[in-house]
Amino acid sequence: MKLVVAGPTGANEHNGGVFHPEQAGRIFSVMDGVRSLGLDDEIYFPPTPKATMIELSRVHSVAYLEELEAFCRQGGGDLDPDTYACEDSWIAARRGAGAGLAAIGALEEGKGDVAFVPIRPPGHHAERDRAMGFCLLNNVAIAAAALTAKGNRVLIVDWDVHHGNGTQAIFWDDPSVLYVSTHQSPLFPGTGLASEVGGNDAMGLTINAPLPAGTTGDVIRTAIDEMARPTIEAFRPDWVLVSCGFDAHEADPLGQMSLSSGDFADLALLVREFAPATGRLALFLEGGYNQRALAASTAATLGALLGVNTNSVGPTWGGRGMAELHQVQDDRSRAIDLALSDSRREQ
Amino acid sequence: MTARPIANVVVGYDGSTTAQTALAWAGLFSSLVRARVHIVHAVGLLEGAAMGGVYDAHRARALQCAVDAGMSASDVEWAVLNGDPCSVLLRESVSIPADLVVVGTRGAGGHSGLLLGSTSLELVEHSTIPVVVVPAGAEASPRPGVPQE
Repeated sequence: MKLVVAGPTGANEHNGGVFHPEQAGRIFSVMDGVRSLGLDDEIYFPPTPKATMIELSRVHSVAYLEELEAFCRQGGGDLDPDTYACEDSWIAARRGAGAGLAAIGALEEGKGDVAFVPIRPPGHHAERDRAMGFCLLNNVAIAAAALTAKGNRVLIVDWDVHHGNGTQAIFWDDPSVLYVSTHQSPLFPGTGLASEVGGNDAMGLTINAPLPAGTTGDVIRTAIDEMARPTIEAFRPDWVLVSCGFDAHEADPLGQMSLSSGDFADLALLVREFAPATGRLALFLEGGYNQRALAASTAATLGALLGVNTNSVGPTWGGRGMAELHQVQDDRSRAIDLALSDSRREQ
Repeated sequence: MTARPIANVVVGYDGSTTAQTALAWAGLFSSLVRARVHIVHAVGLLEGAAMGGVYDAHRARALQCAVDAGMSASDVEWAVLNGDPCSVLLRESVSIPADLVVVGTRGAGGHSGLLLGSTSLELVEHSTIPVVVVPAGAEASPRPGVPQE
């Protein structure tokens, strides 16, 4: 198995100071995890040019892109209480989005069996016309939009501890993208209810599993394997992209879930089952703010996919979340029934 | 546009001086039109990780501010909600449903001419109900819109 690593990007350009948890050290930790696999000859690092305005504008409004560029050119600052941009953040963000596109390109060319995209700033909170939650450009959405523009059907699995409100909103009414998210609730950004199931043109193609603090890995696996699997198999994705946050790890300071690095390994193997062939799976770094957990989780995830034993901590089970997951399934079914009956009434 | 009585006013509150100014204005205005005030504190990624019991202090200060502005405590609601300030205020305005949103302007260091980085400008852009933006340093006059003597 050969690994494509599109990155790292954003380590030097995007800088909000040492006290901000979304900092350059995250990328160094993730790359420590990659290096610990000992696969130097088996990794292909593609060139990662900056994404063009045309590629970005498939997802973001031109007005927002121009404003973000101008904001950075003027020196940047705080975009909201969480999110900053500095002078070079525009470059870092475009480079990160471009790395995602480069990963897809490398897989299309047969340069690897799976791709990892270690980039910052992260992306899944960024909406069409807004930065949010540390995110400037929605990297995974930009890659997915490039694929759907070529007629592909794309599954996005988002196992970051926070709901990917931006990704959900961008593809809310798009029948070519299936978005599946497991996340802690209540927690920022306050979206991702089970009753959010997609717009009229993509009814059922948003799957949310909001789960409580203390949730263990078995619940996340069940959410994807049992709750989401029938929809995923009916959807038949051409590509699988993962919003690969590691902040559901038990040691993460911004979340309170109870996953181990071994859980991410299991989730990666589970998600790979949905890819129609090798070379159709790419994992995009999102959150994760404990640097030791980041390194261990990166190694465990990629090691599992590549068949490398990393001696990671085993998967977790028996914590909170299973009862809530059953409620999630009920809420989702009710929401779809209600939406369908509303739709029939309108006709 | 059909005029309707203002029954519910949402106020964004982050504990800052400008938020207190906005809350004072909203409290005075709401007491005059007999509206309920819903004080909303948005909890972001960073704050969610660090705050804990600080909400109690925020809540006490905000409620006192509203009462000082002439509100009856029974007409004031307090909510702590996850999300960025603009999204939270928009969602809560729909959920209540509210008739008016009140926020303060951002503090020093803003970026004039750009929408980015300004909750108030984003709200004005996206809100479907009227938005009042109270400038920093403004004093709540006895009658909104009437200069003090």
